[in-house]
Amino acid sequence: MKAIEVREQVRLPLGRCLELVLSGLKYRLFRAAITVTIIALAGAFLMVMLTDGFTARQVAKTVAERIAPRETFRFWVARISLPLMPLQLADELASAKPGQVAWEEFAAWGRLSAEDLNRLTEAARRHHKYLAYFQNLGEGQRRGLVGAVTDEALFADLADPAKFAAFREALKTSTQQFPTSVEEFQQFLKDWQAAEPTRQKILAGDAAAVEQVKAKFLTGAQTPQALLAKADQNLLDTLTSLGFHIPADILPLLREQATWNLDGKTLISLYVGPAANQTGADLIGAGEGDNGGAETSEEPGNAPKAEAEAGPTRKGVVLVKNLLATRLDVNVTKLNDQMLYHYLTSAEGAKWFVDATACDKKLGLSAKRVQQVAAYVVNESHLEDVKNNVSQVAGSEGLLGFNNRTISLILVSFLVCIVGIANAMLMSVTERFREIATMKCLGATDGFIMINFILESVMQGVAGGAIGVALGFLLGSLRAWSSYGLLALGSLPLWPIVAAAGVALVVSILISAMAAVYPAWVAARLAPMEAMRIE
Amino acid sequence: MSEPPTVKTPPVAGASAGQPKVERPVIIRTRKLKKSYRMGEVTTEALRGVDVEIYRGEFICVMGPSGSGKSTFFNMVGGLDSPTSGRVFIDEVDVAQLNAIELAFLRCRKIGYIFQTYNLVQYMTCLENVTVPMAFAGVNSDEARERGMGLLDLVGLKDRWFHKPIEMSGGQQQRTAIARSMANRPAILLCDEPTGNLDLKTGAEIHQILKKLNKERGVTIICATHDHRLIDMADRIMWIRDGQVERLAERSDVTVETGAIGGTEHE
Repeated sequence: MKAIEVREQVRLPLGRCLELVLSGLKYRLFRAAITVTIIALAGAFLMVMLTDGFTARQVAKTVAERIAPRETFRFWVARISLPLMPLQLADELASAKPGQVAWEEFAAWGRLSAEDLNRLTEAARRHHKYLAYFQNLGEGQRRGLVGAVTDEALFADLADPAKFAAFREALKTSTQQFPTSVEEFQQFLKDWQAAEPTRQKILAGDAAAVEQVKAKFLTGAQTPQALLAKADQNLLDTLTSLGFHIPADILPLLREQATWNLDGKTLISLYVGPAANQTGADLIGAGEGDNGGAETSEEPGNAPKAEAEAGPTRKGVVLVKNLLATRLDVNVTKLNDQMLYHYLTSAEGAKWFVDATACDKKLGLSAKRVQQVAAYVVNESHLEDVKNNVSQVAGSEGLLGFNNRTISLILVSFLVCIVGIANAMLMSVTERFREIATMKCLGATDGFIMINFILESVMQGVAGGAIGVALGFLLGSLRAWSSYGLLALGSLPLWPIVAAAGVALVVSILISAMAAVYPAWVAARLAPMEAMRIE
Repeated sequence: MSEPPTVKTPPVAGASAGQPKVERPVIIRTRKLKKSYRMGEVTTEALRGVDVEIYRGEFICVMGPSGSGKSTFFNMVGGLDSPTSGRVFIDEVDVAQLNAIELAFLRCRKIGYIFQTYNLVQYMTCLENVTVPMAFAGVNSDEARERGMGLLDLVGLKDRWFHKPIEMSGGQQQRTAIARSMANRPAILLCDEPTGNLDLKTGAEIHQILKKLNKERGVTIICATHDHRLIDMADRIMWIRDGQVERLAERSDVTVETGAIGGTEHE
């Protein structure tokens, strides 16, 4: 019996296959549209996540840059006016390096050699690691391990042998992996306890220095902010002699930030007044007498002049408040700082405010300055908000900066997408049984049928992916805009977004190809005699 | 396509009546062909030992009630399914020994299929439908187009080559399907109730085309049908019942009662 000699059987060029598939897709446009929609949704989801992540990181960087001067200022205000707390010290020690400001300060206060300080910072780093472990535990787990002890007392408490034995037992049943061996931890506890006196010495040195600053400069109503507003080389030298190593090059920064801060305080003091804790009801009660004047907001001079000399007064504050309420057309009890500041960021609002408080000689700010200060304060609160928002997204490490939850969400969305596409393709195969079988009767091989279906899905993947990328970019930017405001628009990074679009597109195509494998196999396996079947 | 060697028909045991005395070239031969289907616990024997020879250039009609094994026989001789035991030779090639690609090759070039439900690809034009098998056979598109138009001319649809199946009548669709089945100049045409879905007049057109193909092109036609006019045209008629060949007779030995189908036939 001779066998068949197979020559050029079904090697359709890709272009012809694509043509066939395209005309088929055009014929079944509605079903294709459904599949494309599924892919587009999954692609859009991935794209939103990617855009969001990239934007968040970019925003985080921008915010960090913009907020840095304020943080430096705040740090030095706290440093010269408040003594260090033990945990704060441990924290700073953990990140201290030779040559840095903090290093010098600690060395001066504790009168420590570089070697001692080295040992101390090394222990502090271990302290940081262990503390992070305990802080990340759930409350119940932590209670089970070490009882109800604060972070501060935690390690001193565990140094007690009885307590440590109990901890050691409890740790055996803990589900959270302890960062090191228990023996190492025990050694650390010993070291940490041994270093306690050294730390106390630093704390005492710092406290003494702060006391001296207080005695020398912060007498009466003088605040550290006001002190830094007038900081000069003299002050710097004095502070250096006390152990505060303020770098000379940040002096202009400190002065500028201090001025913003002080002007901001002046503004709010005219609004809240010296009795900051009085309730709205008090204010309304007190303000009733001035209502006549308050109604005619064009005459702010109604406020008693005698009191104006003594700084922002209760009556003056009430007046400003009432005027503002009238101006903004809200109930005076509902007024808040945000509303005041936002109003003041407009040129009109700033001018009104200067006029309204003209009685008050203390203000001494031009309308323009009021506007700037208000903008500074509004911007600050905005930056703080964004920083809190963004830290949740951008702070996470891992694959593409996604945390595990996001990754699993994305994977689940892909899975759902694959199942959806596979289902749609299976239906498509089922309703084309006869067509497929006929094709096989006409000489189509299993491979051709399979490639045909996978190509079909891939083409849907291309369409769906493109739509998804566009949609996802749009949604992602909208989302970034809504959570970070205008900052987001300037922070949309071009190349990462392009890369994200590429990734989303490729992934869409891949998952549609993967989803089509099973339906295509079902189609390829179909017996050609199905073509004879009559429904 | 080169002419296969002419093979002398060996005497087959149990060959049915009507075996001609002259030696004729055999194109399809089955030997103890058996096919059984497993459906859960039950095994159904669709064919229980069929020995048949079909000659080159012959027009043979296959008859049998539903469930007789007629469809299974069709699938076997069409290279669409492989037997449980026994053998099928198509043009002296043992179908059971072919792999999937060789089967596809065989179906593409040796056999043309005509279905009761036409089975045209709905999103293709008339001409595209006809040229599909040529594409599978590796014919380039210019030649395919030319040949396709020639075939459409043969079935009288040259002017309608750009129509989609949905724009054509049943008869026109079946004519397109016949043109498609002839795409790669097959030696065998396998027709499964070709006029089952057509009215009498259109059915007659199809009959004429099949007859023309058989007479002028020497195509072997195997036709499952209940249409008495078609049976009337056949050279031989084969009855299948209970998975076995009940009778195989020359047309001349059979009386076809025209008008037997509900008495509706008047020509």
